Amino acid sequence: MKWEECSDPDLLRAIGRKEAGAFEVLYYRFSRVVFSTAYRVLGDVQGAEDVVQDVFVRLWRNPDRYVEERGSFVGWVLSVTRNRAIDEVRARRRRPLNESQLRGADESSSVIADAPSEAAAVALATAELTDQRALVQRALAEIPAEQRRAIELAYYHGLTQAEIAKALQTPLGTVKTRIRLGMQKLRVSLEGRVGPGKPEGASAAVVGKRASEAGGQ
Amino acid sequence: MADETPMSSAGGSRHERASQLLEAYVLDALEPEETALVAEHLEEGCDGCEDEVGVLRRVAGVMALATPLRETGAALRQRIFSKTVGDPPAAVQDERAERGAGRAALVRLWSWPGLGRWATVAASFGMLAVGGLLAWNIALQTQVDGLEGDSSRLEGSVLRMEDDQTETVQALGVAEARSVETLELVRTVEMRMTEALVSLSAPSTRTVSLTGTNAAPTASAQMMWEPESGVFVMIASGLRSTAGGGAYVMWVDTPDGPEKVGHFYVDESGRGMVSGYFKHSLSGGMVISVGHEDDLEIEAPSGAPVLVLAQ
Repeated sequence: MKWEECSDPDLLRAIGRKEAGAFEVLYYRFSRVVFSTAYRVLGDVQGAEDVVQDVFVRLWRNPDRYVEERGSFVGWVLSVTRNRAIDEVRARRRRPLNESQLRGADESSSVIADAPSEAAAVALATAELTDQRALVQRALAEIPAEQRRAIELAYYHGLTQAEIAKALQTPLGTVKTRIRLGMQKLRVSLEGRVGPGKPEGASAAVVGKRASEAGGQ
Repeated sequence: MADETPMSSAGGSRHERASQLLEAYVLDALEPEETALVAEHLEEGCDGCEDEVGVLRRVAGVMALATPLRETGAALRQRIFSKTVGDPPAAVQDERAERGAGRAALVRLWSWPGLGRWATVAASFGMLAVGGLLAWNIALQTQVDGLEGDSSRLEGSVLRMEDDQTETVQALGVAEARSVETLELVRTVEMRMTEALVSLSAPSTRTVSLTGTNAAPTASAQMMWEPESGVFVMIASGLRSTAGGGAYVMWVDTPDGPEKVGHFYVDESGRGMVSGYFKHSLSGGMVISVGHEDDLEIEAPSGAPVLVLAQ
């Protein structure tokens, strides 16, 4: 059997049997996105590397933390990474964000501005991940900038809606609406298209209802 | 737009209030009391909201895929691997407890496919070395078996046999240590290959074909070359195996004469691979050739090439 041809869940099962080769391939596939995510949140290499180490050492020890039925591995591992990095950022913080971060000049490091300037030398491990990445970038580019900014302040900077409202000097209700609409549009663009299969229970009716809500406001 | 406080819609049912908060809930952007409200509602067993949270979590999860990519360093990889798979001292100890430890290490190496497809080819060169170790270990084992037979027939040889067995065990220890070294070597090769492949993913990378000459009519090769960094990888097939000795050397003609840019070995299947770098212009009448050499220290091709740049 060749590990590089195995699916992510198969690799994790093999890691449960302490197969070093499976871990190598999993690291090769995901270390770059995990590191990049942690770096985006923390903004320094040392901190980001600590998060990557934490995530992969935990994966080696407890690969069964990932439950296949709940969604794709990449989505799960990036959630774990983001949460771990946000914990660190919150522990460190209590100093305000700088002006450029708030005004979305942060977009210099954001997906939108990034696409053409991205260092061509860094590539993802598989064509599948590369495709998924393009899909997510497109979905993010398609939502209005204010919605994207509100979501990214929560997602990458760990701000609550109230903190975002205060920081952007925007009414809390507006921030809430932006986050809801933006997330629902992302959901419509991405659901069932990123990661394996559409999850159980996410019925077309619910999606349709949410989509029309999102479009109608 | 009117400012809403979290509890301003307190008149609605808990479901109604919670369902408005799910998007922010998965982003951890709620105030503690709002988070608690959603959590309690989910604990009540609301399937609709639970499904919705599941879907939104998946969306939030993949969002990070869009983040600008950065390369990770080899030092980080080493740090992580030393805390997970690669714990050489412990591994060596375990194997020492087994008979035929050298073979165990070898099996581990065979079943160690963490290499990319390309690196697997590189690994096969390491295999050649390890293959030799296997033969050696089996030979040693045979020697032990033979000695055991002798001991039952010839009491006088018992002492000598024990000495030999001690030597055999020591030899197995050395073989095993070499297997571990080979494993390290293969990992280094893989790391270099990954670095090379990263360079070769640049849009400026060119693909160049080489064809076999009359000396090797079945041979052909493809080379990827990134002019900026000079990194190249070439994969050749249809060549005669180097099992009989020597190696294939890759040459690039420069104004100062031929320059050796790499050498490689070819396995039984006739395939081989070489990576390296050179920084010349291919367009200016550049000549690339590959020839078989017995001596790798030579400064110019000793015979006719087997592969040349396709026209």
